[in-house]
Amino acid sequence: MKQLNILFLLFLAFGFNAKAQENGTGKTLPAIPPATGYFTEKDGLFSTKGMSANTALLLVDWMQLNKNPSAIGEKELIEKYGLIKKGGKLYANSFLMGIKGFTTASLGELGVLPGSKSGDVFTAMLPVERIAEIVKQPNVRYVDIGSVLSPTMDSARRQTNVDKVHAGMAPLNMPYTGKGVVVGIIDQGFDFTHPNFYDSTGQKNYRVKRVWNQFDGTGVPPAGYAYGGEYITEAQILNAKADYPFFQQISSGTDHGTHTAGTVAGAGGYPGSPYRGVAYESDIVLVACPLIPSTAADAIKYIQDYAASVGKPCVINMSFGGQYGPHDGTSISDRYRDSLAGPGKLLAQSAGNSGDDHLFIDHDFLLSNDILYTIPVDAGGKSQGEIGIDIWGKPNENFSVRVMTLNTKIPTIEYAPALKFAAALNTIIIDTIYSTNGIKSWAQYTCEIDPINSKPHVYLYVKNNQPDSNHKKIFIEVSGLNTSIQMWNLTGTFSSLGIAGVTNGRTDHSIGEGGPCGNNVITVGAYTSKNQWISLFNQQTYTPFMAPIGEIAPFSSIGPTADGRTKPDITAPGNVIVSSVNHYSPRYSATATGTLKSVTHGSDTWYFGSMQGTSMSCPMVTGILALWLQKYPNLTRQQALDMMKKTAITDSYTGTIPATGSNTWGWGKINAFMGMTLSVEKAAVKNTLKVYPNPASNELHIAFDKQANNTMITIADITGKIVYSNNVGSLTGGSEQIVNMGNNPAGIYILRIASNGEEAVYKIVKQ
Amino acid sequence: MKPFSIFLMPILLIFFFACCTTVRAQTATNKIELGSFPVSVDAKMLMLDLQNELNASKQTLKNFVPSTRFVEKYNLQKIKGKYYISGFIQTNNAFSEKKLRKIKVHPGQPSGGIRTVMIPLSAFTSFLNQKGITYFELSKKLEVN
Repeated sequence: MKQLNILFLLFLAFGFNAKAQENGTGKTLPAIPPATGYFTEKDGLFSTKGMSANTALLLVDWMQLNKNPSAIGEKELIEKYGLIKKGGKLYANSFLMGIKGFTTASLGELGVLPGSKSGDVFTAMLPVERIAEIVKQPNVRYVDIGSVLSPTMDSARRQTNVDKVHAGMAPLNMPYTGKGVVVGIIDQGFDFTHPNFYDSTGQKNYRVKRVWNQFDGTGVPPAGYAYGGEYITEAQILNAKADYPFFQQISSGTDHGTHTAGTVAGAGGYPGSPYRGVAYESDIVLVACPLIPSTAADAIKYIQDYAASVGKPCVINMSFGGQYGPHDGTSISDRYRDSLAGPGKLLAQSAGNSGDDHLFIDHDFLLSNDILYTIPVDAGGKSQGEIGIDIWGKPNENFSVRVMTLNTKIPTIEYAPALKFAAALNTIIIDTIYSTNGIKSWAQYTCEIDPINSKPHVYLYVKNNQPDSNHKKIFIEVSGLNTSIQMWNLTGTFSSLGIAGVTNGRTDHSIGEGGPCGNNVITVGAYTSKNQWISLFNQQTYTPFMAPIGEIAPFSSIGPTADGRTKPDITAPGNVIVSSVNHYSPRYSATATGTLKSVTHGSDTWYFGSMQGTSMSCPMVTGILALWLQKYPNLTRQQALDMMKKTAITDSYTGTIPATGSNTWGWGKINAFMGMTLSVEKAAVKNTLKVYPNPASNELHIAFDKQANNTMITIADITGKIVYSNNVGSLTGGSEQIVNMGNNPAGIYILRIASNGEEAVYKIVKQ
Repeated sequence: MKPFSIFLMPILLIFFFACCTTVRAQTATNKIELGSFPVSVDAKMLMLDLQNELNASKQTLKNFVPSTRFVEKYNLQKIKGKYYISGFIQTNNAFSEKKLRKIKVHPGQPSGGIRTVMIPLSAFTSFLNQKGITYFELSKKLEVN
């Protein structure tokens, strides 16, 4: 009955509202019967005290589901409230506030899965069946299950605190949007015409300043280069439309660049769009690249030269990589790129998507009879087709390799060459490993002592044409004496196939080559920022890489580098991100489950779609670096990394980040806002100031050790409201300013001192 | 475990010696041989495959049209009808950009003693004999991720 009462009241409320709308302005409402009383808590199904309205609605629907499953289905409930089914139970990603000393861990007995903490707000996954109980816990003040969001740039911006930087929240003195910074995107699959690359109207102030389409075999190359076509004017760029027609392959590459560029720098494509990128007022330079390291290196130089020509700092996004190479930053391509980075010239690259691939093995050979065996397999457990294995030893040492065939059914070695092939052979050897009835399989050993890093190196290329049904697996043997090796499977993984004495591959050391292992690049891993959405065509869709919100993306590559450096450097939302896609490519149509929004200007329609990968997290960091460069145009990679180390978000997923960093999370989850605040605090001016006492009761003293020019002192309360502002001009060294805080209520204040073109910020406690 | 078949051993050894490619001290113009500087492992593989394709085609390098598989495997770029090999070179003081350009190789901008290069396939043997280059690293294709 009580439930009926509620529905009846809701019906009345909607009915009146609808009636009011129907009547419209200028017409008189009919007489409304006076209320006879108040609907009180005791009339309700349950107390909604301590919970948000949406939480209460979920509980009503949950009761409905249990009483009458035909009225509302579980699928509908999942869609409506963004629930996650785990171990047969439904969970709601929720916010909780508790009394002093509260932690979500205290709710473990109720099945609560803790998330992160910020201030006094906790996130957690609450079992829906226990929410009513959780709310009643004496230490819980408030529960909010939130509401379903699309996996938009909006949620990624919020999770990284980019929105606060855009808003210029205190202690920042202005909004930061990437204005005055050049962002370069080296990628492929650019739709130059996408409204995301204009200002926030989607139609005005086109922001792409240069394009080098390295695929364009008929265009005029940029000065100093011999290939591709450069588009300089807006008309040239828009006439070119896209790089896609030049490579004509329908793959993830056909939309990739439009997506990454949109995340770095898109302005949203239409007014009020939630798909706005990070540095949405930056200047954009696009290089459509075949992803060959040398042409990508040319692209870096090209973008940096353009930025220098207009006197602006720049940051470059590179969402690509491979696995071939020493993984230690010594490759000549890494060294070239390292030499290009510098103050105001930052490089960001995706860590790679191999975090769940068992593609790495290392081994220490101590005894002469110590031999490593492993089986390279593909995703289906087969050991067929083309197999590439890259094996590196220690500088100036040696190791040997041979490729055999193993019949796993018996199991028996069916073929083994008599010789082992040593890296120091410095030659290429081809060995037939199978040749029967016209079917031939062979192994090619390319052996060397690498002249750059002096490491022994064997690259194995195996072509196994035998059918998998004959159970002949490729069987790798590596041997050495008093040395060690590291090896990567470039085409699959390593497995023991359950055979004793055979080594399985591991997922660590899976950070990509071709840049991410470099010394001067910022390498970016990905965490899960949204795992389900409703498509434009109204289909409930889930990320193919399901993980709880906030958890590392399953694919995010894991460090360290071969020489033991922590990688990735940082993580950002990347599973999944919605951004602009290429409307010249057929992959994202109006009915595709990955398409979330369309925007039409004139007769043309463009789309926004979902993608996941470290390719998607890297642009978040690139955009944030552009915001930081707007503030500090000469920011170096090391300074940016310091900012990340000191301010990155940690939570129950990241755990405590060790002092040396984490090879899964780097230094944690990037925090655009706090990073920027710290950079302000780190400004040199702070070293010449002394602020005391803190906490302060009445007078706050600011002592200047050195000459300070153009000095401005402001104090804001925690809401950002300025409570004190004084332009004190020039001050001599040894002078002191006294601010009377007596009239301000107790609380936390932000003191900002701008002087000599720099700023220092202090958190002041007024007692 | 069963050892490898003994009767296969002579065949293996013949094949082994036939296929060993130290690619040195060869004088014929159609031979792909290491010149005055070392190259990366995959550049060596390219040299071997190029030699094999050249031998099979009976063409000279100047007129040689590589197979689609070769173009894809080594990421050759076709520009105005010509195939180019991409990579990096490390150089010393004896390096001459002018001489490189003379054989139609396109060097990119230098940084830290390293340059990018685009080498016409037809000029590859000439490139391998250039002075002032201390190392060549072939660029291996990367993937979006």
